[in-house]
Order: sequence, then structure tokens, then C-alpha cells
Amino acid sequence: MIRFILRRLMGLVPVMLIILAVAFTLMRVAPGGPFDQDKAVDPQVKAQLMARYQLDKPLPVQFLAVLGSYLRGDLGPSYRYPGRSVNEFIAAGFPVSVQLGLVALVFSLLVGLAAGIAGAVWQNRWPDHTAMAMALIGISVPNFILGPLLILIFSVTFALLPAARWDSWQHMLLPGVTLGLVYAAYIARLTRGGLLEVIRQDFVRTARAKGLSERLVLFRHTLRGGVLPVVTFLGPAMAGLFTGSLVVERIFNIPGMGPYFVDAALNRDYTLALGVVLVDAGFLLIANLVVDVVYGLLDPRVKVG
Amino acid sequence: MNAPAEQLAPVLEPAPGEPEAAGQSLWQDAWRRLRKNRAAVAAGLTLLAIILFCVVGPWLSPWRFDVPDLEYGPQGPSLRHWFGTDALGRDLMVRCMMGGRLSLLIGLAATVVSLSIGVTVGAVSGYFGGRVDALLMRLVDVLYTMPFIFFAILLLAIFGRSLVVVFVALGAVTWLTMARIVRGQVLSLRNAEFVQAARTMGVSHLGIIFRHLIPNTLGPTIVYATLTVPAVMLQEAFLSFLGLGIAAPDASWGLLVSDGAANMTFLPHELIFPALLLSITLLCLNFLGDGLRDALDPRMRFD
Amino acid sequence: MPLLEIHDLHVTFRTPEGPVHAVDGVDFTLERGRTLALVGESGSGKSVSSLALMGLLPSPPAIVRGGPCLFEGISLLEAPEAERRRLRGNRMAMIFQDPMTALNPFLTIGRQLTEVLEVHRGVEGRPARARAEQMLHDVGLADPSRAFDQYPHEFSGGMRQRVMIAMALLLEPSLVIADEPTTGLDVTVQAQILALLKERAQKNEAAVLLITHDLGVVAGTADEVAVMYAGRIVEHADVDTLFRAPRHPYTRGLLQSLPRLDSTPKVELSVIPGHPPDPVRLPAGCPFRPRCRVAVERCAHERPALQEVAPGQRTACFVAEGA
Repeated sequence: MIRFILRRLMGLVPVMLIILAVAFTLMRVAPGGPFDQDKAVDPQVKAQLMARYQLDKPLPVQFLAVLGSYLRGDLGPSYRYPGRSVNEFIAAGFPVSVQLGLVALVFSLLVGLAAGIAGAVWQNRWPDHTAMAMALIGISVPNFILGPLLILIFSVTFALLPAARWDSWQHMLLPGVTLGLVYAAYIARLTRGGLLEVIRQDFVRTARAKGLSERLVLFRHTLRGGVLPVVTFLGPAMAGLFTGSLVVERIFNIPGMGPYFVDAALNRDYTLALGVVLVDAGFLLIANLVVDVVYGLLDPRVKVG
Repeated sequence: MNAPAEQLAPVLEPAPGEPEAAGQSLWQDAWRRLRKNRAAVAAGLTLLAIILFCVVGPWLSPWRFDVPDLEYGPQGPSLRHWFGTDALGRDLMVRCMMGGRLSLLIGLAATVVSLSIGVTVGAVSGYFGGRVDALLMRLVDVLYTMPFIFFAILLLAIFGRSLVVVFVALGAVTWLTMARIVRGQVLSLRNAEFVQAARTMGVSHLGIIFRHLIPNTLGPTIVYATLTVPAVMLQEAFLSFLGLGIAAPDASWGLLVSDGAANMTFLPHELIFPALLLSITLLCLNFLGDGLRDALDPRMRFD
Repeated sequence: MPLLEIHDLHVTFRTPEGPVHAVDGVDFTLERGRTLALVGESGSGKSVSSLALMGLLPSPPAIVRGGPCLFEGISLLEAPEAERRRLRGNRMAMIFQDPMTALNPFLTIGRQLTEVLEVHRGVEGRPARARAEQMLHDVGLADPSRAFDQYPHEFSGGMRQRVMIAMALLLEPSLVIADEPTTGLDVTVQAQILALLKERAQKNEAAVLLITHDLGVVAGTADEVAVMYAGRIVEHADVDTLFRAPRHPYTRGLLQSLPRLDSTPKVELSVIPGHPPDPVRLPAGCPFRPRCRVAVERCAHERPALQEVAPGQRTACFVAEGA
């Protein structure tokens, strides 16, 4: 098991290098640079700045320099916010983004699993129809519509919940739901489908033949196999949570990493954008690894290690 | 502009001159099952109505999408402006129609990009197998792990907000699953008798792939494409919302929703109308995709 | 009092094509310690009957009627679900056809055994483990304490069927229903499994209801045989009588289609012509009539009942009655 994880971690290194190289190249071949927008900067100062940040060297040399400082844990200085390091931005934003993602993930798992189980247990009856209709709607209402609507209802009209910032648990409710609902919908559909698939299996009949209660049949014999599709889905879902958080953080004015990334890309703040790509991509790759390990733990037929 | 629902009927006919393409009865069966699925039919008709509304509507409306009605100003719905006007006093209904044109166009165009790449890669990979297959699928695996939206954002931020970049960025993001599906299909077909026959008759590799194999993967391809359209529209809207998609005064539904969200406290209708149109369209496309999947093969799953 | 008394059991499935009478009036009794084989082609209703007795048919679409059907004096069709659940796995146990799919792939063998003890006896932990390992040893697993922690996919089909038998017999039920327990196993393994089943059942003095389409299995294992056709028992006799002097034309056909060691190779195996009837549209009269070589006028519109035609032999056939 440990060896499997270590081997997979080693496998992530080249993937990470490719991601960084592509992002680095994309930014550098684009016209413009971090010090171009401000017309006030005179050419001499600009040349000095370029030299200080080693932007005058050939690209491969710069890329190697970047990798070198990453190895030392230094994400470099921000070009657009003088005196502040990328590490600072990420230390401030990343925990908030992760919190938001976790709230959304927990919400989507709770709601999605419950709805999916209800749908499978009462297949083709009203709880099923209700849950699946809700799921289709959940899939079709994008978070950037849901967020403003929720604000309109809960903050503007009824003044029940705050519409912005990230200070207490009340602040987490609306953004969490906004970000998580789509995944709740997908998880509900996957859970229902997975359970119905397993319920038809012979071993579920065996469990009933042993005189187990329906509750035991469901929770001990059916659920584990039934949620496997959900576990598989969690990998892509993590990626989606990150993407979605770009929007949700903007809607609810949450001080996460999302806004930095878009602005950094627009402003050619190379170090900051690359730093965000590094952290987010790294987190995603590791999350996918965790999902694979969990899958292996749930399904004894899958050999892990 | 071609609409998915309008295309449906012709596409479901077997391609002429393809005797080994899935038999007539399969498509007829699927078509019959689809028509029996009331939700899918309702979704298709609604979609058709929305498409007509967006395509024909602007010609019938007295208002232009980029010219404000200065004497009316920003206000809610009325007989003069059925959807009301936006913050600058422009007729919201015409803006929604124009936005719909663009959103649907992007959805279709990016799906075509995604289809072309995905089907080609998948078919080549599945047909040649061996080292080609291993290489291409390894590539797909690596690309799967990439946070693509970052690259899309980087592309748009760096090369500017042009429609072409949006197509390419979105198409490039969505072809991976398509490639896997087609590869699986081709893999199971490549040793079928009709392929062997074509091979012994000296048909070239490309000829076999494009004339014989790809037509036989149409079923899953159509279904997945139907589900790709809403996914792409969603992505476009999402990019527009972040201020990276279409630029004003042009409009897409995503941009309209974004504007509406900004003004929702005093002009809630500006959020609600484009949000409704976008959501209903996505809902219909999803229903239609589900219906097509059930009609073509109840066992097929893309989850 | 017999262990199991079944009267006029009916099972109907509601389908879009109309109701399907899968079991259409089945009667039999089974004494303690005896083995009754239910024999028939697939679709004859033998598996459905056994599932109905266990209470494992999903309803809808299945509707189970008839009666009285008594097991240890308890009316199966009238007992509340909780009471039936107490019987299942405890007083009556079932061994299923395909050991590859009948065991839960996500749980260890041990867990699947001990949960029976836990649910019905409240035995958990170490004592449950000891009891389960003993049972695994009894059914012939070489290393029970290792097998306890293994998963089904780590075993061969024959081994899994041994585990199934261990699971079914763990609580010493008085009735074991074995539904095609050897189908899909190697021929040598089949014999071992049947011998094991017989041995374990005898040790517990359990009755066995053996569901099979394989008359070869019946000959070596059963005490009595009931032949089913189109949802009904058409002939019921002790195993010797049935093999020696079958009276129903369907039973005769089945026996003649068996390859025999002493038959001359020139003689072709006879196969019953035609197909079993469509269960949605059963013909009037005797359901076997369309395939029957000896049918008479009366068979076309009247349904023969199961009648005693010889001591200990009951047959549902007008021609056999007359003979």
C-alpha cells in the first residue's frame, strides 16, 4: 500500500512538470509582460526590473530557475504587488478555498447520497421521481445562476444569511450550497444507478436469504458496491469544485485563491499565476490519488500495491 | 444555424451507402423509443421553440440589442419591453435572443471541434492498437489529470477574448471522454467480419476508419455529443461570467447572467430572464441526451 | 407433522404482456431428514417455487397465493415479514446456483458467516469466529482461520460453494433449499459438493429441497422426486420408482433423453420434441399435450390433477391413470 502510494507520487512528478511547462510557455509566448501596462515605467527602470527578476534570460533558463526555487519552497515574488511574495498570497487564499471546497463536498455528499439512496430504495415511486427531477434541475442550473438567486432570496429579500465574506459558519452556507448543488445532483444520480445495479446482484438475494433486515441488506451489502461510481466521480468532481470556486468566490466576495488567478493571468503576473497553477494542480493530483486509494480500500477485488 | 433538435431526425437515419452501418431497424427502434419518451419529446420541442425564438426573434422585434431606449431607461418588464431593459436601457428580450444565438452557436461549434478531435483520436487509437494506442491513451490519461480550465483561462487571458479562442479552448477541453468512448467502440469492432472483408479488399486504413468504423460508432457518439453541447454552453457562460468570454456589446447568456447578477438588487429581472433561458436550455439538452441514451442503448452509461 | 407442507401454491408475475403464472398450483410435503428433488426444465417454476417458500420474491411484480403452506407449523404465506425473516437463514436456509455471484465480493468470508450468528443468535466476536472457523473446517476448507479473512474472489467456484454450504448450515436449519447447487462447477467438484451437502444435511437431520434440471444429480442424492412442468408438478414419486417406472409421458421423455452407460452407442438419445408452452398463454387442458405422443381427446380441454397411480406414486396424466 505504502509502496503503491509512493510509486504513484513519483508518477505525478512528470505530470506536474508538464503542467508547469505548458502554463509557463503559454504565459511567456503571449504578448505583453508584467511591467507593460503602467506607461509611467521608463525603459531603463523596466530593464532594471526585468534584470532583477531574471526576465531577460532565455526562457529555458528562466524555467529551470523557477523550478529550482520551487524545490526550495519559494514561489517567488509577485510582479504586480511589489514586496509581497506568492507564498503569502497562497497562504492567505488557499486555506479559504479548501474550506469552501470541503463545505461544498460535504454538502454534496450528504444530499447526493441521501437522495440517491431514497431514489433506489423507492424506485419508480414518488421519492425517486422527486429526487431525480431535482437532480436534473440541479445539473441544469449553473452555479453562477444559483449563487445570485440564493443571494436574491436569502440575503436581499429575507435577510436571513450574509451575502459576502467568509467569517463564520453562516457565511459558508450559501457559497457551499451554490458550489455543491451540481455535485449533489450528479452524486444522487450515480448513487441511485450504482445501488440499482448492485441490488440486482445475486449476493443481495443471498443476504436476504440469511434473514438480514432490509436496513442491514442496504447498508452492509448494497451500499459499498453502490457508491463505487460515486468514488470514481469524486476525482473529476474535485477538479470541478476548484473551477467552480473561481466563480463562487467572486460572487460571494470570498478571499480565496480564485480571484488571484484570473487577475494574475490578465496582468501577466507570471509568478503568481504559475504559483496558483502549481498549488491547485498539485492538490488535484493528490486528491485523485486519494480517490484511487479509497476505491482500492472499498473494493477488495482491486489490487492496490 | 443548425439546431440539435432539427438535426435529430436526419442524423438518426443510417448513412446512405453504408450497408454494414447499424441496421435500419436499430435506428427505427431508437427513434420509436425516443418518441415514446414524453420527457425527451417535450424537451426537444421546448428546445426547438427556444431556438426559433433566438434565431427569428431579433428580426421581428422593433428593438436593437445594442441601442438603448433612452426615454424608457432601465426598467422592469412592460408591454413595450416584454423582458424589461438592462442597466443601460437596452431591450432585454432582444439581448437574450442575441445571447442565445451566440451561446447555442458556441455550444454547437465547440462540440464539432471536440467531436472531430475526439472521434479521430479515439478511432485511430482503437484501430491501430499496440504502441499507437498506448501512446495516445497515455496522452489522454495525462491530459485528464490537467486542470484544463486553468489553461482555458490562461489562453483567453493571454490571447484576448475572441470567439475562435473560445471554441478552441472549449473544444480542446472536452474531446478526451469522446476519444475514450470511440476507442472502446472501435476496439470491439475492429476484428468484425465486415472490417476484415474491407481489409482483404484492399481498403486503406484511413478508408476503413472513416468509412466503416466511425459510422458504426454513431450511436454513442451522438448521445455523448448531445450531452457535450450543454457542457460546453455551461463552460462558455462560466468564462463569460468571469469576464473572459464574449465582450460587450455582443452578448451571450453567460454574459447577460453576469450583468444581471451585478444589478440584481435593483433590476432582478435582468438576472432572471437570461438565467431562466440558459437553465431551461441546459435542462432540455440534458433530458434529450438522457432520452437518446435510453433510446439507443439502455445499458449505455457515461457516468 | 411433516416439516414442510405445501398446498396449492401459486405465483403470478405481473408483466406488461399480462400476468405470468410461473407456479400454478403446487402441492407436496417434505418430512424431516428427507431429500426431495424438484426437477424440470428452466421456466418450469421450480426455482420460483423455492424462492416463494423463502419469501424472496420481490412483490411487485410477484404475487404469491394459495395455501395453507406450513413450515414447522408456521403458515408461511400469512406470517408477518419479521417472523419470516427470523426463519430465513435460521430454520430454513438456501444455497444458490452460482457461487461466483452469490457471495458478496466486498465482505470477507468470515464476515458473511458470522453475520448469520449475529443476526439470529446474537453471537459476536471471538465465539462467532470460532464457530464459523469450525464450520469452514467441517465443509473441507484446508485453512479455516486464513479463509475467514479472505474475500470470495480469492477462492475457486467449488470452494465458494463449500463456503455457501457452510453459511447455510451454520445454524443447523431444519430445511435447506439448494437451487442448482452444482451448475457451473467441474464434474468432479459437482460430486464432491453433492456428497458434502448430503453428509452435512444428514448430520443435522435437515430436510433438503434440491432444485435441479439434472436427473443425474437426482439419482444419487434424492429420496423423492417431483417433476415440474409449466408451473405444476406432473409426477411425484420416490426416486427408485420414478426411475424404474415413470408414468407421466414427460418424465419418460426426460429419462429417455438421459445418456446411459449401458445403452448401445447406436441408439440416438431421444429428445422431447417441441418447446415448453409460453407461460403467458398456457394452452387449455394439459399443458404438456402439444408435445405429448400419447395425448387423447380429453387432454385438450381438461387439466389432469395429481392422482395416486401406484402406492407412493402420483401422476397428473389421464393416460397414466387409465393405464
